[in-house]
Amino acid sequence: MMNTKNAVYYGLFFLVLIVLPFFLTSNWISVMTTFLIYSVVSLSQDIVLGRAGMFDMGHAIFFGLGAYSTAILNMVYGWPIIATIPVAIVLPIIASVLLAAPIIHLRGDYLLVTTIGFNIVFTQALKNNVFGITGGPNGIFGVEPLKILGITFASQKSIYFLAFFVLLLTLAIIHNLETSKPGRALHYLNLDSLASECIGINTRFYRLYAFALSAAIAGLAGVVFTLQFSAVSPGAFNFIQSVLFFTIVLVGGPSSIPGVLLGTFFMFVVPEMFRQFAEARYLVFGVAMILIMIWRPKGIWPVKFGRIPNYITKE
Amino acid sequence: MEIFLQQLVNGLTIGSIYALVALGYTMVYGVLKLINFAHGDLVALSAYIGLVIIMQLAGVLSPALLILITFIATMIITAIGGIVLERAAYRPLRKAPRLSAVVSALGASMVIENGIMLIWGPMPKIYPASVVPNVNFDLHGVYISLMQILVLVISLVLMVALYLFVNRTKLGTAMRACAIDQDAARLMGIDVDKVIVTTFVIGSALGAVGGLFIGMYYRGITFNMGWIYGLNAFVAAIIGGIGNIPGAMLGGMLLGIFNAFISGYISSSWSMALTYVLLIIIMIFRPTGILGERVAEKV
Amino acid sequence: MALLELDNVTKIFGGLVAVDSLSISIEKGMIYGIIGPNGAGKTTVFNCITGVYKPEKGKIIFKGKDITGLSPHRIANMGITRTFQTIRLFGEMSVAENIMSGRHSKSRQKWWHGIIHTPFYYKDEKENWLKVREYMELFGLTHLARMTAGSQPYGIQRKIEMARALATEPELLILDEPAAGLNDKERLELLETIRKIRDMGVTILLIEHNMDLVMNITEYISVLNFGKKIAEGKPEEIQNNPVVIEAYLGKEDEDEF
Repeated sequence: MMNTKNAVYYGLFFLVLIVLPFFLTSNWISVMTTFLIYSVVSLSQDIVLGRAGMFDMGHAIFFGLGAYSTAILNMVYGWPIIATIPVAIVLPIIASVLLAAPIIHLRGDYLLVTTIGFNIVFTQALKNNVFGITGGPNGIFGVEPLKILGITFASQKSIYFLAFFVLLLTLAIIHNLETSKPGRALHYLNLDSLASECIGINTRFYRLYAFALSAAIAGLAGVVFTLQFSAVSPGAFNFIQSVLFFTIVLVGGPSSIPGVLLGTFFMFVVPEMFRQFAEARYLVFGVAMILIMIWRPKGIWPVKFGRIPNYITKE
Repeated sequence: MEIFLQQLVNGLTIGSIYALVALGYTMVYGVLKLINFAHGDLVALSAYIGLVIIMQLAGVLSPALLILITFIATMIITAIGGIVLERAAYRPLRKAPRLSAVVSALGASMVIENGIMLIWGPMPKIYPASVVPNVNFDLHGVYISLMQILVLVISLVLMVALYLFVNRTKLGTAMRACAIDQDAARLMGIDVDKVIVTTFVIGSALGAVGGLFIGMYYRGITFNMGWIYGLNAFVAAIIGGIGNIPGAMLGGMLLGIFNAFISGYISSSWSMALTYVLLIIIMIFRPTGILGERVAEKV
Repeated sequence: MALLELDNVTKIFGGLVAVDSLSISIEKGMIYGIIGPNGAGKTTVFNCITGVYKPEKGKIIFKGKDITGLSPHRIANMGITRTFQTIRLFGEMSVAENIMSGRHSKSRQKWWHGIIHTPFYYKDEKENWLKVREYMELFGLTHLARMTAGSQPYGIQRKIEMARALATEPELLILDEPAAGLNDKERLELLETIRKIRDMGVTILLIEHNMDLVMNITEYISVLNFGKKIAEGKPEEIQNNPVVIEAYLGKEDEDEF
């Protein structure tokens, strides 16, 4: 359960997000929509990397599978968007388990490189227009908007709020995860895998669970991404994107919700703010990353353990 | 048969380049247990620096002297780059969690890559065609150019030199000791900092040779080529066994040959993807690589 | 039927035979000790029992079931819990969270409770946290509930580890050098604690170097040297067994006096 201080902070944060689009230019609404979507993906990456401690540098695959599922089912097979959502969630789950199962036991750096490998194969397959449905290097255009109960989510603001809703959902899930048996299991197996096994935790199962859950969330974010641009292309899901999500978690603070949100803001929104310095901004950025790691190796807003119910310490 | 041998020659050439770059990754990983993501970008930088030197001195010197000076100067400058990299991005994080160093490496990679772009622009640059005289030798229908011979010979010489250094000299032995147990090495009186710096110097210098070869052999260089060649070289290092020096050499060669055959017989657009499929297969069945060792954990 | 039986268990590492045809029988309710010089293979035996290693030869039978080579978490879920020679706590987490990890095998939450909190979730959470409180009180750790486990003094960390192990409600508790690094007062507390645990119905198997503790608390001992059992019996018998004495102190030189 959350204490009052945190509830106030989150409340303020949500309030700002709700009010924001009414004060921003169209360009900035788009930036903030992407911020919301990337936050969701980063939070999902945090489940695997921050909590379970697995070096996953291929997370863009699941994001992309969700996005492409919606695009393909809608454009090639004529499905209404709402019907594509379950597929966009389940397909990444299946993919994540298939990909992770044979490599889940690998030591950190090996896992990292293998996930990069998967990512590269994935984007190459998209570019090569496998099965003739992925649209090749240019991707797929003209995806329809979402229609629920007669409401069409076509306007920029409506998609912004759709993204906001998905973020709320994600935050709720992660909050539930944090205070539950599976969520704790992830922390335990990250801190000491052997001790966890010996205390009765099936580390292999929970590692796959982390992948599956995070893939589902990333897939859902992918749907919103497709709706934002009414299009998908391979370039949005290459391994450089995975590197971005990976870095966001580590720079922001692994296992820390405010950390990951801050990380997304810093790694994505801030460079947008400095667009005018077009070329130099990424260089400054790289320097900032190095400095942040030296100054705050555990992230800008590190996680704090010790959230336990009050009733066990009260007299 | 000629196609086979031709691809073999091409494969060994590109394989040598991969090997030179892979050595930088594997040596740093062996000593610091860190994937130096910025290594590929130093290689790219060396290609640009080499081009600058060549453009300045072309026509003034004979080809042999031009190549010699370019190589030496570029190796020195890149080695200095390696020293700065280690000091600025890695040394402050020696005691930090491993992943923090990974992020720092990624940051350093961004700095170098965008630095190149700021200085030389985003458009590709082209190496002049005549740095190495365009001479080809025809061996029963298999063409091998002077350039390729240069790559193969120089790479071989350097790899043998490195092997002798690591196995026969005091500093080389110190490097191997640090790779096994840094704390024990320190307790034995080894100057670990010096060893680490040396590792970066050698790795960067070899990478510089690789970068120059890329420029001279492929002629086109871009600011983001560091990641493309870097990742491939890194895969090579892993296939051979990360941390293992002969492994990097072997891995580089094998990968080069593999790439050449895929490009030659199937198609080059799948070449990169299939390289990674190969990597994935090796990671599943033999993660420590061909020459890598298994290390047991004491409970 | 014995609670735990080792039947000619052999564990080989490369060329080294760490455990050599070891056969042991532990009855329910016993406090059983395994002693021997350093490197005799004692921890390796524990690792084989708990599934960390798979023995090359032999069988391990727990409550009549063959558990040889099962994965550690399955063995833990069957009722065997162990502590480690080097304490392996989840250092960055709080004391209470560490003990809560012991409740993992007892909690009946499923994977979906990580996503959605049902009424069953609330019931299960409360039950287990209350259990955590019980164990904290048993070891006098309640005031440290929110403190970081890794920053506690050594003696306290040992208690946290013990509490965590007990929280799994084991049938067989395996203690790997529980007295290592403890001062006299702490060792006396440990003796008390082990007796209390046995009175709760838990069978105890322990490795220990501190002879006072071993002679004081164990009811039956097996002595290992170079992976082989060289003697077994009640503590008084072992104390006077020349083979055992030789193993620890070396052969008596006839010219000395």
